[in-house]
Amino acid sequence: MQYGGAFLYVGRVAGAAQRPLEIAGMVVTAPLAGGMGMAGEGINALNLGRTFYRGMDAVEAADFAANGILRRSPNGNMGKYLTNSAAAAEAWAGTFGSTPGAVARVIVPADATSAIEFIGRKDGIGMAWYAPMEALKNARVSIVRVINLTPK
Amino acid sequence: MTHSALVHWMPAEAGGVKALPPVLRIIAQSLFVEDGTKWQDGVWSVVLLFDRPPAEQTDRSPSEANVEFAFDTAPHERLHAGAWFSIHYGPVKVAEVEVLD
Repeated sequence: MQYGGAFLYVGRVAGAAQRPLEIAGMVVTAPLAGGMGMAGEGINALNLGRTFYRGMDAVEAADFAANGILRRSPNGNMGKYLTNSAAAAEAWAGTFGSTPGAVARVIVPADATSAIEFIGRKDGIGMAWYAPMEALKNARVSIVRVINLTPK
Repeated sequence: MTHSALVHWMPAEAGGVKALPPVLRIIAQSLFVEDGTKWQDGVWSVVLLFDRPPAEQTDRSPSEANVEFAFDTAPHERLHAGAWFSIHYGPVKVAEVEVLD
């Protein structure tokens, strides 16, 4: 599968997307930088969910591209860290000594957002939230920036 | 700067992870005594490196590890011999870490 630019893949965490969230597919045309963009704001206004971003290293990004779902890390972590801007997500994607992979937009359904815990400012980069995997099972996940999908 | 450490895993029945990590490197958020009982507005990630995957242990005895902050701008002075801190995956307390040197 070739990846030549942004907005290349729309997937989910697990299971079929809830029908009302199909509108979330619009997000693939939203602007990349900074905030959530018009589509994301519209989704929030409709109370269909909340938009976050996640920085992926190359291993996670390749796994998502291959499987179309966000999967648990093998390190025992039962959730994923999220942030509120693509820029912050990109900064995290290239940290921890791993190869930066991609930035994903994660739209969490409104009925799952209460399980997401606000962590605060993290690593001097930006605001962080922690989402248990259960809270992400019906999330709409789309790659908004590809950095590198070839794990070293 | 990397420090030697002992990782004291939280029991699963006390809310710790169900299984120890089957990997040689984990990254978690740190909580130091000086932070109080909850995260302040400035959480820092630490990297723990193991010589063998903790999952290969037959029990939850402390694991030897090397520890360092994940970022150069972190408060490195907090990592010193005798320091203790806890590591977390989100709200889940995974272990307490004893810095040895």
